[in-house]
Amino acid sequence: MNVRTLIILVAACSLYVSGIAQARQPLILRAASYVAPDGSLIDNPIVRIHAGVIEDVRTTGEAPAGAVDFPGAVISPGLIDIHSELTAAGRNAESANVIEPEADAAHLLDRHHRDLQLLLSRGVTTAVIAPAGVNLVAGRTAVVSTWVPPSGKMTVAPGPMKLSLSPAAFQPDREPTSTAGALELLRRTFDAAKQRGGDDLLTMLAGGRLPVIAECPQRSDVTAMLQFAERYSLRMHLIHREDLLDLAPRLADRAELLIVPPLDMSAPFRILAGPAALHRAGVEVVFAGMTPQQHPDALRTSAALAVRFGLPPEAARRAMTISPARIAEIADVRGSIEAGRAADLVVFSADPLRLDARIIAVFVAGELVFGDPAILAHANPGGGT
Amino acid sequence: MRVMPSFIRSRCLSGILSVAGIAWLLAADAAHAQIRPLVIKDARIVRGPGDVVEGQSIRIKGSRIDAIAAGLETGFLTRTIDASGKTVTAGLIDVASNLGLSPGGDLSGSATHRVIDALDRYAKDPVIEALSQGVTTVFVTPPAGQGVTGMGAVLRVTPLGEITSRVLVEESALCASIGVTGAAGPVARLRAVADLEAKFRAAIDHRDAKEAYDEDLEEYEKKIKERAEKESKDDNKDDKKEKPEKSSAANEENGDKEKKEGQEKDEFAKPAEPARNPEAELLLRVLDGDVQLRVEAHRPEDILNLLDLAREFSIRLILVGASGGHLVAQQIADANVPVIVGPTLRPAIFEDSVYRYHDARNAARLAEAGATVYVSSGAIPGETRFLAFNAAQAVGHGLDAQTAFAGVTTQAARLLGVDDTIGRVARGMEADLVIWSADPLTDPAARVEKVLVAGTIVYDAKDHDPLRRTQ
Repeated sequence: MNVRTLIILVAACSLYVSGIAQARQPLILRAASYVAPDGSLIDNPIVRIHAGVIEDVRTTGEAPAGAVDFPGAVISPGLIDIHSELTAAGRNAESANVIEPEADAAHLLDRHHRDLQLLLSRGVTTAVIAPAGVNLVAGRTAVVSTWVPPSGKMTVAPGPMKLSLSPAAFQPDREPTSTAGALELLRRTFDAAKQRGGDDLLTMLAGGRLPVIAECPQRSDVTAMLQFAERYSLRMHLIHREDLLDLAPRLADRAELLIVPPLDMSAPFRILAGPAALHRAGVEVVFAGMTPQQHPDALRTSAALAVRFGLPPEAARRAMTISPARIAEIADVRGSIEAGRAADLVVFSADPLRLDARIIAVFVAGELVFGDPAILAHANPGGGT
Repeated sequence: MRVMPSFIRSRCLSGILSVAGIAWLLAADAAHAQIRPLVIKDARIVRGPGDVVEGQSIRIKGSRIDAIAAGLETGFLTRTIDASGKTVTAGLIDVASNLGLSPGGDLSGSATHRVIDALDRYAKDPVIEALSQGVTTVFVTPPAGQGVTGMGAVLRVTPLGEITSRVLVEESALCASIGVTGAAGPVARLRAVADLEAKFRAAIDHRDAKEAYDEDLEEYEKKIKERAEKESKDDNKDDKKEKPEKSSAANEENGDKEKKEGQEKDEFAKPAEPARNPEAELLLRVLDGDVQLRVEAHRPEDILNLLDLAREFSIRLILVGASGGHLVAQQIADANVPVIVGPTLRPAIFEDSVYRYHDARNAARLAEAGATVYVSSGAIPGETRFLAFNAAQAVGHGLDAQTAFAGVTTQAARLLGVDDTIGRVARGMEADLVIWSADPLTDPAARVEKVLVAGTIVYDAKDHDPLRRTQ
């Protein structure tokens, strides 16, 4: 080996090692306030991040030298879109079998799709990608990170199974052709699977061992699915928007969380008041973004509209962060700013519920993935405690 | 029987009348707004963009703001609203709205179509909903069609009174759209712009023809007069001979004479008056700069063609929608053409969509380049209600906050030519005010509590709670 090759090798090694060293240095963020796990805003946080994880969050004491300061800003957990067709839209509608538990959105992902960068730039760091609702049992969703490091995997975990009573699931040339028929078919299928036994997805589903999300466009779908979920002891979360005002009292003790599709500015007031009614009934609201058909800001737009119509701001902030994490069963690693969670953070110029708040920076696993790199210029890695 | 002395009787009478009069005045009836002043007390007042005062009161007399000061004294007849802890802003103005139009309207407009004639006078719910979100004035745009769609009007948002009483400006701007409905391929749109151009030329031709006609008519009448004078001299000579006999024979002779004169007149050919052309008349007012021209367009090439058109005919052009405007922001700014943008966010756009150049940063980039930008609902049904949210979203995507706020208050009023009446909270302005539970510019939980239009409370949140149904 000649001298030149040796020098290149040494240079490469030291760069590599310093890269690792860099990643090993803690990053400390300061801001005017942050979104606490209960959704409230608490002042003067000092968030310490190390190895991609939040080590510790304090609201008292001095920030160490080398902390990155965001004056006037609000640090939020990365937003989570509980129902998306990101990177898979147009390719995720396989309608050969009405019961298709083996369909898996994880097989359809495109890690180079430009929509990922769009979502990141708007603060959405995790998305649950779903197959299209063209089958009664539409398939498995996949929990993905919208930022994929070069060597990393896009899929974080398998997500809930998706059921659908949307009109697309009812096709004229096959069973079922009505909601009643659909539930009857589901019952038969579940009973048969339980009798058969085994470890296939359908049996696990029927045995209540998988979380489920269910598209229920109509009011009657909601009540029917609730009964079905109770009968089979399913961990089921419904997706519904139209009749929440009327349904809220009945959902009171029967649903812990409910997914609300995007609220937009043309919606009637009774729909916009739905989330507040849910909250009053003790049901936790979760907003779905339905990207890419909807703009990633749909989550915050839903939140802002719902707050205008009476949803408490804390509940609205939870609805974009910890509550979708609970449905996707990843709440122990994402969705809140607490020790031990992934360092997926968004720095907003103001309360994320304000639609005029701008996004200053987005961190995923402690890495700055959106925002001016100069932000970190004065960060002093290894700033001591 | 004792008769009451007359002076006691008259005192009693005047006493009864005074009591009755005061009772009448004290009755809290909207009709008495003109008589009893109203004071909104101790509020945080956003008088204009960046102009905020704390703990002041607003006195309203009739329909106008009479005073804004700390500690205004309240007389015996004054009605008060305690607004401590609340924020008062001017009513918001949507410069491109669909409010009041029935859904599914006729899509084939024309220059002579007036939006005023198409308003649904029974549509109270949309009005209440818009008020509940703080919007008190709208420019109503005719539904989009191909080419010129009609004359838009500026109206107050109020459920009271006839439509005619709500009109602030009956003929505010002539509206047109290019490539929004109907054939939207590139050739069709080129043709649409060419059609507009042709219409303007036709209007100019019409004016030329009219002027030529006027000249010719003058000529003709002069000649007729000359001939008449000449013939009356001849007639006088004849009359002197024939005066005693006004016989039918004489009349017949006169008839023959007239026929002869008629034949002679035909040699002059009375000039033919150009057919009446109301559309051309209207376009001439645009060409003369009396009326603004608004054109909705959503592609950079269409925008550039419209800028050329405006330059060629010296038209006061306003662009509406202008998706893709960010790509030609400098040209728009240099041409001094204001832009009214619609919704900041749109759902997924396909390649062949009208809005394929849509960009949430459009307003921000246009403003950065120096263009005057207004955020509106884009005349999308139902979205006037959430004008404030749309403006906030534009700010969230980079538009300067003061510019956005001005675009729904002071600057919006200036665009519509009503800035001496509405748009800011100041003495002498109409009392179009919104009382919010908190600062709407910083608190996402702020809600509208009361709205006043022309000094009358036209919306009170206590009377309209969408959640009441759940009880």
